[in-house]
Amino acid sequence: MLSMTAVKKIYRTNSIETYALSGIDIEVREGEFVAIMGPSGCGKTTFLNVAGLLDTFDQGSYLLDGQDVSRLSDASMSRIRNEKIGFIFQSFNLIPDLDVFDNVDVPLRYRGWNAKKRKEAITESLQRVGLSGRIKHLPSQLSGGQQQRVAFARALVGEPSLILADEPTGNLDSHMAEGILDLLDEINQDGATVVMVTHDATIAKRAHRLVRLLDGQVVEADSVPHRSAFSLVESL
Amino acid sequence: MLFYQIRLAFKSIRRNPVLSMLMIGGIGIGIGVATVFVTAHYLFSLNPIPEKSDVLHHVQMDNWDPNRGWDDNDPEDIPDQVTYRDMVNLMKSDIPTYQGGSFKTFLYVYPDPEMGRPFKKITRMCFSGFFKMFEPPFQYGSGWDLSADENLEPVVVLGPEVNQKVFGGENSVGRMIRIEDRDFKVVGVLDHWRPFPKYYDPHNGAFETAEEVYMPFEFFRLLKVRSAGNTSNWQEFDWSDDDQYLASEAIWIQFWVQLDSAPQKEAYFSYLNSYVEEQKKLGRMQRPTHNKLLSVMEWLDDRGAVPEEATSLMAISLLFLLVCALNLIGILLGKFLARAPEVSVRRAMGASRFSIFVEHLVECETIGVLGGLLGIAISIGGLEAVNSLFDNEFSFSLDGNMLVVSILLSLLAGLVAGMYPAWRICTIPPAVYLRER
Amino acid sequence: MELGPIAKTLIRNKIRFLLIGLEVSLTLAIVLNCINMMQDLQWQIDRPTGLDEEGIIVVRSRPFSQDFREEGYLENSRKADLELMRNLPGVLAADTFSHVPLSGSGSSSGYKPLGAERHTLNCNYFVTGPSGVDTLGVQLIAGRNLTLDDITEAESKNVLITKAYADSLFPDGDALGKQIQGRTAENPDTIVGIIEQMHGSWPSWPFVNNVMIRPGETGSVNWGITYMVRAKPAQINGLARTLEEELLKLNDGRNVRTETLAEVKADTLGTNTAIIKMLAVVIVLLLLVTALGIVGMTSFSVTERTHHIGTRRALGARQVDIMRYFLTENWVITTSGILVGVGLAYTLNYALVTFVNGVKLEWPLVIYGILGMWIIGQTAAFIPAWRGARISPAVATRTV
Repeated sequence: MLSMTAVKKIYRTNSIETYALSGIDIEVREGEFVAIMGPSGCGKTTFLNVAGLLDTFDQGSYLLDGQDVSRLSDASMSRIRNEKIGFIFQSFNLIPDLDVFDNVDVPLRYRGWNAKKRKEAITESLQRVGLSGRIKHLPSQLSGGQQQRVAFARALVGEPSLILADEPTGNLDSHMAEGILDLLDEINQDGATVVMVTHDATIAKRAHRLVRLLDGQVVEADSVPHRSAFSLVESL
Repeated sequence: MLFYQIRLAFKSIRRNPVLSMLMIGGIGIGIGVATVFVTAHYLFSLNPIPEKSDVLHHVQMDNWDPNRGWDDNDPEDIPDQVTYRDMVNLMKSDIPTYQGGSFKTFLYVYPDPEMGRPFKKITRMCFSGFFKMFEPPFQYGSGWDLSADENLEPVVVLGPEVNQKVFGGENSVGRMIRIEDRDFKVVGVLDHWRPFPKYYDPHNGAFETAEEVYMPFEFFRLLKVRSAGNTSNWQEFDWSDDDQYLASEAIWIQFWVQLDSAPQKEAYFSYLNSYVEEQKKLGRMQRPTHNKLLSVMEWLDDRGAVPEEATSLMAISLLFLLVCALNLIGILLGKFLARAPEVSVRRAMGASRFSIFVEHLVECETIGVLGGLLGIAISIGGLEAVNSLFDNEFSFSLDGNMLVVSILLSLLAGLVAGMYPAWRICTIPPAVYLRER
Repeated sequence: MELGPIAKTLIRNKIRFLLIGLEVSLTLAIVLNCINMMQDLQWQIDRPTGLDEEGIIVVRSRPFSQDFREEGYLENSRKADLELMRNLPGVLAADTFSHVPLSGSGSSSGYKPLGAERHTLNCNYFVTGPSGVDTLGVQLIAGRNLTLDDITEAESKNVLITKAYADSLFPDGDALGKQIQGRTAENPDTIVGIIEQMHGSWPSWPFVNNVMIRPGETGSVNWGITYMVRAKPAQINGLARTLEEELLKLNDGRNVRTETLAEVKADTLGTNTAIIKMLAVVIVLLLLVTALGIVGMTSFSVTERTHHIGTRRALGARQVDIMRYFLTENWVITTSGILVGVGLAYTLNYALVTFVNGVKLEWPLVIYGILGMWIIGQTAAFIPAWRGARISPAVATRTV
């Protein structure tokens, strides 16, 4: 699904060069639930940005779903983000002026579906996160957990194959966090690959594999399990 | 405290110079444009002779065609000048302090051949009362006496331009000057005089220059001249025959009287009424009696001394200022709300709602005043530009009053534009912004 | 595209967008009325006057020599002047005139069909000789020109009038040969010719097209003599100087001044030109202020929504989509402003027509105004929208 080889990302400010990613090698198979962990400033966010095609990188290669995405135009990258990737952000990033329905609608708007198809997908997606009753609510009228659920619905509505979650529980209390993590699990079970970035070890445990980052490099990674073996473990 | 707030305001203005320039420039342009056209309008409606405008009165009566009024569109309107015979008759009254009709024409002035060729100059045929009533400033000498009117003495008062051309600008009182086919004795030389609007004879435009030659009225017969101003008439007669012309109902004379007190005015008005009644008995003035004795400002109002274009332009420029103010409100609102987190921190540290409000309002006023200063600069340039468009001797310029107006406009614009944004920023709930950041 | 969501966003930020919408509407209302005024003023300058404006020189001879007071001197001088003028190379026609058309100075009178029981109709009359029509360059469309006999025969009262005046006196179109009178029926005039079109002395007079040409030789010692000379436009500048020199050579006891009719007209309509220029400046400044207002407002929208833009980009919006979002938002605001503005424009116009003598606003101008406002709005929003489009999608993962 996701394969990075020696990916480097350099930030230049005047004469100083800072390596945000100093040669990352990482491989995520289809259907995996991977947690990326590391302290503040280790390059987690940069990794996520590069992985999600939110940002470009300077060196190395990156294959997403078998496609080389290192030299794509903005429009192509936008299309991949829209169709293949679902984002879940720490601060939810809901658009405060839009109600729940319209927020979930945002990615579909860029896909050019007709109104009926969009409506079906949105309703289904909201049902999935258990918010069908709050379609007309504005984000400010929802609790943090509910907001994050809307964000989930938005990430899922386009049926992406890869979910990128950035500290999805960072702004939530532990009770709400549990619910959100259950949801992530569920999504993964349904077949989506999930990559979650976090600094919290207890949350990282919910993933099936852990990758540790330090100073822009992978320092420790569990071996890549085989999909079937993994499923077996789960079913036990 | 105010000083501190002004300093804060300047800091804030400097922090985002492009935005500040947009704001100051925008409101400055608005104030500049509004000041230009308000000034122009104001100058048109200005009292040309404030110290005497209440005592000078313009005399009118309705001597028009019994079958058809002076103005088809306005039955209330009456002729705006008087006939020769009415002027002569009315001047027999001893009620007014001063009085006299006058009209303008063009006469040839013959300088010493060494000084130059003869030239035509705008001339006013008037009575000694003209100088007493309208008080033009004299450089040398004075107007002539009543006796000069009665005995038709060949005397003239010259304007500064003619005096310069003929006498090299010297004190020419007592010297002789040739006008048309006879010699006149100079009794006075005027200083620069530019009544605006030209209220005593506005028939050919408010901008018209004052006359450069003045001589006793009755010389018009000897010189065989007619008015170069408006002459209106409703009867048919032989214009080239002086007797017919002077006995006709043709109006061509501006007749003014000075009435210093209310009783005097009352007395004169009843005199005027009884004169008209008397004329009716003689078969003249068969229209309903409608006499007018208007003071200077009433007269100018009656005529609509302010050109409609000036009114339109002023209205447009004030709307323009409104647009600039709206613009300023929008930008200020954006700027202030972007500062919400900072204000939240201030509020958390104990700043009261009121002090936040005042602080921001002071910033708006500072922008308003800076815009106002820019506006004054723009309006000075603008008035110069307007002057260059009209090739008149007269020029529009800012006076003290208008400076005050533009400063007030800028303070008002700052206040109006700042009120809402300042209120918005001071009422934001600080907690929201503190939590989100 | 995203009209629904955009509308919701606008409603939630109503005050700011209301302000800019109101600004757009006021601007449209003011600009439309200003342009309307300018067009009317310009029309007064540009409209055909029937006269050969480019080919006429006005010559004013103002005698100061006492010789002119002698019996017959003025008449002889006039004869000599006209002979000289007509024989100068390049001169097509020349004659004396009581007044100069388009000069702001003239005489008016009222006439009605002989014996008619109604008010007289205003017209502006000029007294000139048989060459007057040729000199003015106006076209005779019916009847005949004035002849020398019309002038010399004392009792003859044959006149020419413009078609506009003829039609208002005789709506049936049978004015030619008819007699007309002033207030009384004594001394009626006979219409012997109809002129296609000619403007009188006062361009802004409502009856400017009502003109009468009366036969006569004009001039007096006091006012002097006014001539007009017609020549090919290319020649008139050189000719004006020649005329001054030659006339003074003929008789030096006078001042001679020449100007072209085009100059006379420009002078009379100088206020129009000045007001047109002022209005143009006002319009440009107003549009500038409004455009800057839109730039500022869109910039704020963009800055304020940096994070939303990042999120949208992360969710798959292309740069084009972001641009389109802001341009559409701007379009919605501008269009609502325009809708209100059209109403305001007509209201303001109504006020101008009612209280000062404004002219009615015509709808084609309004259409152009709407198109212009759209273009200005989109252009002004373009730069900040472009800036918005360049916001990196990585902004989305930044915790504020």
